[in-house]
Amino acid sequence: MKHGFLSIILHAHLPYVRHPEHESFFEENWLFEAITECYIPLIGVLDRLENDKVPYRLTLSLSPPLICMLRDELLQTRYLKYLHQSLELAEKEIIRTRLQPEFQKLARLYRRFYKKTLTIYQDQYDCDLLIAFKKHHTMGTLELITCAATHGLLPLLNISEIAVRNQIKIGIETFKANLGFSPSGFWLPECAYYPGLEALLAEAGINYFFVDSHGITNASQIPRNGVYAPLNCGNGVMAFARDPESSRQVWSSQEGYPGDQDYREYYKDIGFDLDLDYIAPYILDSDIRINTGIKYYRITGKDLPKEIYNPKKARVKAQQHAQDFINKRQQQIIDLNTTMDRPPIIIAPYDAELFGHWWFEGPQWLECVLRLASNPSNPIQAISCSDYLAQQSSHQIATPSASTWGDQGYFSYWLNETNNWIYPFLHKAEAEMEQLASDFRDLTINSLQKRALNQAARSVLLAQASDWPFIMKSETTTEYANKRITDHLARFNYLHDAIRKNNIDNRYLTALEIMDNIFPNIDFWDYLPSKKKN
Amino acid sequence: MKLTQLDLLEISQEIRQCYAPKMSASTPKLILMPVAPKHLYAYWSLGNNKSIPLQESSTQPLTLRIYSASDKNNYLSKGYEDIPMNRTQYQQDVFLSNPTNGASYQASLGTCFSDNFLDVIAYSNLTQLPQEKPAITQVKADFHPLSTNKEIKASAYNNDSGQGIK
Repeated sequence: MKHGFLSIILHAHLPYVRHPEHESFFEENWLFEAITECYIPLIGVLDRLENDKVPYRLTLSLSPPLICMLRDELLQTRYLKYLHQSLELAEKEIIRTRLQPEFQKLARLYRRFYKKTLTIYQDQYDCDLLIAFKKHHTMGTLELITCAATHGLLPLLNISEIAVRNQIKIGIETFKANLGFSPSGFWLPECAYYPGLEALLAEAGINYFFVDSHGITNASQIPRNGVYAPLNCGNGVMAFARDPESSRQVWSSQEGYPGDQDYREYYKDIGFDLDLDYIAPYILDSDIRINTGIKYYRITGKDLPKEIYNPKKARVKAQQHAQDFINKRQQQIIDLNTTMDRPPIIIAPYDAELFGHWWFEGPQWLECVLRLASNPSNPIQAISCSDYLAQQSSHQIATPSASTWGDQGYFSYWLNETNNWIYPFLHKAEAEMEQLASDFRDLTINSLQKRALNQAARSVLLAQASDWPFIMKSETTTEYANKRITDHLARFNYLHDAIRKNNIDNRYLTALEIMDNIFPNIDFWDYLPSKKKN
Repeated sequence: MKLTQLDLLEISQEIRQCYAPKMSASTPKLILMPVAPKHLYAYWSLGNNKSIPLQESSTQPLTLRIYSASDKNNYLSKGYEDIPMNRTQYQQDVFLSNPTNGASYQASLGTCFSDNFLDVIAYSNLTQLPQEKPAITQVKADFHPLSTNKEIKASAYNNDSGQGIK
């Protein structure tokens, strides 16, 4: 007899980074690293669970930019090149470490890892990982949902309802075009919610979304079941809240599993440690040190010399941590059952890129958790939110409060002195796009104008990505984030000017279509207050 | 149409140089955005406003007068809060002294005279302040995106245990 539910949600997202105007481009590695270290290992987990007939349930949110990048031929080709290069470096490492057996053992492990990755990517899934995710969705074990078109932070775009509506609508349309069905759930970028957003989600056919804990605890009515049951926003759309306890165990730097001393150390990478002459072919422009993915050390401990990584020991630790996680969820459920009027559901959402990239053993931990949760003898059952809603028919009605899952819980990470300059420009471009659509409402437009208007809409959407203000605040690749915002706004300004002056240059427009080829089916009429019907 | 990598790069660079975003607005405008409980962000454009004599406009400070749209009677005793704004800027953080939790706010921007008359240049949109949350620890990490670049020191994100999670 099950007494409660656990819903693990992985949100997979990367900003749209694709630069056909360059032979290679460093920031494209974000995708390549995520494919190698996160998405393919995740598929490995799902495939093994399938082979072992484990009745698991997991939810994966695939963001539209990620969907488009995974389907992009140029990026697929470049990823294969990246992977072959990683394999070559691992082979070179086996030779270099021939007198250091412990290190050579790890070098061999990396070679096996890259070879297996290549087999899964190229042979098993024909360079299209969406096929793998869809396969598991079709089998009923993986629930796929999606996110806003370019991961725009919706409360900060809400100066225009059309901007928010299009982020939702175009996101869902992109998902449907690539996965072949409509998602039931929607991942709000950064869990950013404002009261009223549920109306636009309902309009788009969405049944549920997620907010951070305080979005529910501060709802318009006191939630009877705390964060362990969804709220009906009043229009039938359900809001689920993140469970702070299960989040803390994974995210927290103080208490979180990923900081364990036996896990692989992310920051000791041979790209930074080995002689420049040796590593030059595998780093940026042969002279700027970057991560290569090959790392030989474990976290070890504060202020201690780093010790060599022991994969077997790390695997055992991941299993222990999985058992600990399940034990704590079971105890939580037992406690909650004494006070709740229904079986509790614990919502545990994480960035998919945590598992495998930052936390190398994360996929092992996840696999163990899903196996343990499927054990019929324990009182916890893994479930998707769709399945939960199918089982529970009535829900408390209340409106969540404005919130995000970011630092401080509100919008300050995306709106502060490092990035506030972008918003007047973003709002202006959005308003001008809507004005363009309005002004063309009763005019006959030719194919060149239509292409330019659609491309202008792509530029607006790409500029709206929450990733750029996030990076500006976190001071990581700030120069690149500034460049991207500036480029997309400049491209919009160019197109706006050309359309207004009826002076569209086919060569320039084609170049922009090649460079920003996201959302091939975009329809600029979506920017009309009431959409023009054909 | 066949375009080479170089063609694409040149077009990209030319567009960036010639069409980079610039602040310009012919009509006065004021936008309020929510940041956190008690904290709003405002940006504005005075446009080509001719209603304020030039001499006066250059010396008198701007005032942002904020009203609670959902709780007009109780928002401070006078029904609004005046916040001085820096005329030389086009944006400013706005911290409300005693806001109603979760209430909606609207503002007008203008020049305030001694009798509290506000000569309004622009009215804002309506925005809702987030509600104060209960005291719980924020647990979401803020690492992102995946790869570090040359500017990032290897230890930039290390925590006590050396792992890259805050």
